[in-house]
Amino acid sequence: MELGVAIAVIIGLAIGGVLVVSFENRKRNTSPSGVSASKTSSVVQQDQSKDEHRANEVLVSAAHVFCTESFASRDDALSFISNNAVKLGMADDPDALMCAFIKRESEGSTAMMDGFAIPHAKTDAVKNAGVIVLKVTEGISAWESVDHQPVTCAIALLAPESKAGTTHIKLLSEVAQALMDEDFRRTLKNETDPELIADVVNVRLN
Amino acid sequence: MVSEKATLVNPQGLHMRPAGLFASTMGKFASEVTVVAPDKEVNGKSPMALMAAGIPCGTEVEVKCDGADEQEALAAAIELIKSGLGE
Repeated sequence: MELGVAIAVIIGLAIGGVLVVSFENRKRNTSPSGVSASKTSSVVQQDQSKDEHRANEVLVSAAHVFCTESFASRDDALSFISNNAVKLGMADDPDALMCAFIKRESEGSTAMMDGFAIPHAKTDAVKNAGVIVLKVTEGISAWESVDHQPVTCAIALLAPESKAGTTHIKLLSEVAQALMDEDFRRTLKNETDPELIADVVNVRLN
Repeated sequence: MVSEKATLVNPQGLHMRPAGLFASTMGKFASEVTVVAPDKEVNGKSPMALMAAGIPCGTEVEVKCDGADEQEALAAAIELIKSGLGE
């Protein structure tokens, strides 16, 4: 009987000791806020990289989306985009933008297929890289496209010349990926709310 | 199937114009053409797919051609890339 009691006490002490040691170990690895020190450092680094990523994001607002009826020509549409890019603070010289757009078109039409065109202006007149979406209800037939469809939606890319190899190609890649998605194309064609169009485009660009 | 690697020398990478040129040139061949970049494989005959790949300057790509005229297609593809894709 006494031996049994002694064994029980020893076992109890052993279990208690294990519990105490384990509690002390957990306490040592935990900061006062309840988050582990290594995890805090990792979370801070992730937040910093997210902030850097946000600084490089191109965000399209409803103000960057224009739904219009018609344009007499491709150049009228590009002029409209150039003037509004300046109004939006993306660039400081509408003529320089227009020259850049036309120069690019002269090297080969940016009208692709299914009514979409991706005109782009790579010029240092662009201060803030960005995207302008122009929807044209009647379509621009004179904008030569691969499938001969009139252009009903131009997704214009604007980037500084110095960023042509980075920002521009990133934007172009993202827009091209989006345009390969039938749902994206359908939404852009059918939607007329600039806010909703901006949201749909932003999801693709970021 | 034949393949060969080449490095993109276009300063602005595979943007719309070179992508379009590559796709239209490859479109003249019967063979299937695939462009393999470090983390993606795209149809070499699709200008949109090539643009979507966003391949920057200095990237070594592998071109794969498979079909009756694969040798000619591959030769044309590598020549295009090495010469700067018209730029």
